Amino acid sequence: MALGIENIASYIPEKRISNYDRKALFDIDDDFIENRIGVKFVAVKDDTEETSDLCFKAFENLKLKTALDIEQIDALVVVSQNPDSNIPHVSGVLHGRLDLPETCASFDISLGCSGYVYGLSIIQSFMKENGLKRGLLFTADPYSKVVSPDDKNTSLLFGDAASVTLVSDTPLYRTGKFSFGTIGKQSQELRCENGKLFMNGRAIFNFAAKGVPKDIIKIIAENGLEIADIDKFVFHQGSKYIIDTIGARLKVSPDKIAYDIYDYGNTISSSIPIILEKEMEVPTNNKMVISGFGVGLSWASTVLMK
Amino acid sequence: MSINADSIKGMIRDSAAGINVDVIKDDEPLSEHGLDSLGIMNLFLYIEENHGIAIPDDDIDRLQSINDIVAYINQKS
Repeated sequence: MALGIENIASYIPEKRISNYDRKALFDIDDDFIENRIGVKFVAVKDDTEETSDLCFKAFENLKLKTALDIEQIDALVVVSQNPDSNIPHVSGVLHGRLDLPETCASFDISLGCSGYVYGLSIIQSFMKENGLKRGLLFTADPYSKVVSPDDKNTSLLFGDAASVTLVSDTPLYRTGKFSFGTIGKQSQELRCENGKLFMNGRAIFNFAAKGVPKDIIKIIAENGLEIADIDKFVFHQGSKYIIDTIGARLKVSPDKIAYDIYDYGNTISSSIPIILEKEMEVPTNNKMVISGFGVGLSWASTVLMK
Repeated sequence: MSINADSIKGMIRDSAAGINVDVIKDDEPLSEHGLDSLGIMNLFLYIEENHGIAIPDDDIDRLQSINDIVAYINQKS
């Protein structure tokens, strides 16, 4: 049974914080906003919205795109490190909200920016092992819960969003071999402390610039392909500078590298599926590389193939 | 092997740090020519990789000019 991605939908809250309004506060200019970090506005959820609410709204958008029969969903997985609460898990709350059948398995995965790619592998493996045919993979990690407004390293960058991917036995894209990795000795470089996010920007940049290009080259080769065979590269949208650096190190033409976060920011595990939702509509995108990297420090990559 | 100012200028060009190295005097602060925090990360990663040295954050704060970087690398290598 070949499982893969049948459809994707996302939800980005309407509320925005403008980085142009914070130029004096952080001593930055338009060039830094537009060409360096590449985030003009960050999306922020309402105070009343919870993580499960963001997922629910992404699911509502999925229903608009597909003739989805709720009764046929056999697995529900949520990737998040900022749940509604510690207990219960978000997937349990969401299962009830969506009125899914009691036979539907539900669990959460605690990962950050690598979470979507990890999640694809996990949900597909779980479904295959248990003979399941339709699963929902959600991502929602609203960092507005943990970002300090006066922290230049994080508040200009991170936005709130959610996504849902319908994984089924009638896929538009199937996944190739995956690559995973962790540098746990550097896990403290991106962490929450007393409820507030801390990021060592230089350490994260060095990790991404040194590790991701090597991993991309490796996973393309392990799937029997060459860089020239890839129609689109969809990297976790860490920042424009990180994406540009990875692209330059891979010597890939910029028009093959997706970049899309000017209007809403780095949405952690949702950044890849939000872009995939658009890129999977492009008929010429037969083979796409996806790669997530960040908290952990961890990374995961694979190739999507029609 | 010791390095000189021209070597560092070459690295600034190759690292795509985002500044025009041809108009910078060796003793001028690079920040005055537009080297921002992201350009600094890229430049010093490039230097670390090419010279096999680790440059701690605290040291980077002191490396303001091309002359500063030349002296630092020659002392570390």
